[in-house]
Amino acid sequence: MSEMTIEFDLGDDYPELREGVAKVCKNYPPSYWEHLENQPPSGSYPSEFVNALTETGFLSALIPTEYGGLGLPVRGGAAILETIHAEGCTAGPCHAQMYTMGTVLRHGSAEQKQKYLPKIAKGELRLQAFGVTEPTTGSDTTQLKTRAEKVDGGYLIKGQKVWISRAAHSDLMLLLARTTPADQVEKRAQGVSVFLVDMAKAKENGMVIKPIDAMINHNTTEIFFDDVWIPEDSLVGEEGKGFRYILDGMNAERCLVSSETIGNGRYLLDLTIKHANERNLFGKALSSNQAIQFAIVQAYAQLETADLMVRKAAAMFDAGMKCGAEANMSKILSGEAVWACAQVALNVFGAAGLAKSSSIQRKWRESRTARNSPISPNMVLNFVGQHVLGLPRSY
Amino acid sequence: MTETLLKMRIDTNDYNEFRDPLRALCSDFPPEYWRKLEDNPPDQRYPTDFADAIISSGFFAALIEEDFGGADLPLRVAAVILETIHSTPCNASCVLGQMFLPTILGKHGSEAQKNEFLPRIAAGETRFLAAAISEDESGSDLAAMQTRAEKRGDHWVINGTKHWVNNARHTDIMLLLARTSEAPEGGDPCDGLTAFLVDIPKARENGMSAELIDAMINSNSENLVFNDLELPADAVIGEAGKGYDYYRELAEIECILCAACASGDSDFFSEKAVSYANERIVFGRPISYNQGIQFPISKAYVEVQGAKLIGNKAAAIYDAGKRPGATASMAKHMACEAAWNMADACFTTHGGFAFAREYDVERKWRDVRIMQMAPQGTNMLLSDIGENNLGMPRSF
Repeated sequence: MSEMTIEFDLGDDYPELREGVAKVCKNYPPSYWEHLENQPPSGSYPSEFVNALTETGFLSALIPTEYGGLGLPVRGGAAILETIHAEGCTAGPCHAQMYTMGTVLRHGSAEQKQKYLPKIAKGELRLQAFGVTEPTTGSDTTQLKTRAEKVDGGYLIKGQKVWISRAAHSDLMLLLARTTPADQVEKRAQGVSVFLVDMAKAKENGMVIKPIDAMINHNTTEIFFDDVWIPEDSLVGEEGKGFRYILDGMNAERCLVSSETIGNGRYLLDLTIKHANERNLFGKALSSNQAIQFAIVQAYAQLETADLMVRKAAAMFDAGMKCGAEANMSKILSGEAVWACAQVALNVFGAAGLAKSSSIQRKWRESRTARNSPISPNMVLNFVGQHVLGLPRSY
Repeated sequence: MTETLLKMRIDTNDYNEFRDPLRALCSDFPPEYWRKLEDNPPDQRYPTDFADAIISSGFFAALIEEDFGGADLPLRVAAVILETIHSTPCNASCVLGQMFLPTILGKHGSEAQKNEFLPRIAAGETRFLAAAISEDESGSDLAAMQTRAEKRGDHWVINGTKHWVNNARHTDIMLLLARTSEAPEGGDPCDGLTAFLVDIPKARENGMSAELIDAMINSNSENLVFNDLELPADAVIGEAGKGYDYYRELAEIECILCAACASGDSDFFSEKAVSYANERIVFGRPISYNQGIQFPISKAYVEVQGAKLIGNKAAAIYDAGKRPGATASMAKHMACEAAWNMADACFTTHGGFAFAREYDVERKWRDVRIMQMAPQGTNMLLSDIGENNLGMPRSF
């Protein structure tokens, strides 16, 4: 192994970014998010919040300065997303604006980059949807059935995607579809391509988006393609190499969403500790009971530990090192840690935490989703078993 | 909730220049060596040959300043040394003190003490392996300790009893914590405890008696009774009455090193679990194909990797010249929890063979269980974090 050193900051790195983000978030208190949850699915997108973040430029963190972005490393983006969550807000409705463009940046043509990245950086175009998952494949991505058939001047898309978040609020979507049938390629990861789809035009050509009503505000959808024509220049990079392209992006995504999870943990712990110290029962603070205090401390220790793995993974990504194991481990450690925080929070707040007006139950639901998506913990354990420990593929 | 910005560095090489020779040294002490020790009567269970080899290797002079013949290495390197030893069938508890106890002399000892002891400790001629802190009636509640040191003329007279003093009969000098004055009214109840350096051979002839404790695993621990033990005035380390503060500094270092020991044990278990799971065939295929076997190993492995990072962080804080405080407690707590889960996964993977002594799983598994309680118990670590990092009240 070649000798390499990574280095990262401990504590509140990127303090100016954190301060700026926190300032925006202060205008979107728990009541704002509660109000959104009371809307029908079609009206539950936090447009004002997303617009405000867009105006500050924070969502363009990872776009190089030559295209009008902030040109920050993944860790800078992570600090932004962590802060949004630590302030009680939710970056889920817009975080993809930050990282979905990575595939275009790394693998797109010069024309595509010039055409899209400056507008994405300014927020004039939203690239927030990532069309990968399908009803019958899920984590088994290489088995996806959506086809992109080459026709004169473009491709015809046929198939169905599901759990595509923010598709109804996005101008562009990255779409993964098979261009060479699975039985004509050597490895099943081959023959899959990435397309940058113009949503408005695709809708004109027959693409149908249906919202899915879900436990928590995902603004998620299912999308139907019945021979939807898209132009040839929608293809990103080379035909057939799409699976590898999106894998690159997934490690960045795992670093970033794990940092949101860390932010949620901090938010929940701050509220919980404050409540446990202030709430007086049996003549003493709730927190002087070891059953309460130790559970909070355990969750905190898990969170601090997970935070270090998130920082390590991001530092490795930013140094151009392979970070699949670390990005996956960040995901599982942060997911377990935030769940410990969320459970103790609900226990400490008791019934008060269940009230719709309390952000505890909202963040508790959000915390649970961190243990399912964007990658299942079982898939993380499979990755670690196979690729780190040398155990066989078990599925 | 966060500290000022510090950098943390991770080398992919991760100090192989220390790990490789240590692994070679440890390979001279194979599993049979350790198993045979357990068959001995209690007073012959100390791994004398191993301790001699480790101490004469010079690795345990890592934290002693160069001026006194030490290597003056970062705490992170000391942690790597212990982690490496524990990743083999060996166990470093017989020599752990030699690594960190001298730091109390380096930080608070007089010039005379430093000049007299540190060069000899660094050279391996003097062993500093024991600390007499815990008592029958007080345990973690140090303020309640009953052992007294009374000033009579130009010397101190010690009376009291200490329990669970590891390696007391294998050390030349020992740290002793005893009360020299009452805590001030309304002040810190731990004020008035004083740290002494005890010359063990002299003390044995001069009022200290010892009784070995037969225990679950080779801790070579003793109960010590002091009956008018006389110590010279210059046996006091630092300022009289400040012993507790010095002890806290030592305890933080000890936590970081114990975390490294636990992480080393985790490495031992994960390697053992993986190779056994891949070799053992049941129902016509290696048992590692079963997610029931594979996932607990992978899960514990992930926890171990996290725990190692927080251990690195605690050491990085110390190496930057700051007090790691509750981060050291977190490092030990997380490392021991992860090690326990890894040990358990390894145990389950081995099925009935886990009980068979020749596999070494049960021996190391007992080692790990002890570390969850000693030297600092889980509850004390959690209280430290709750009070000092999170601002919650003292709960006891």
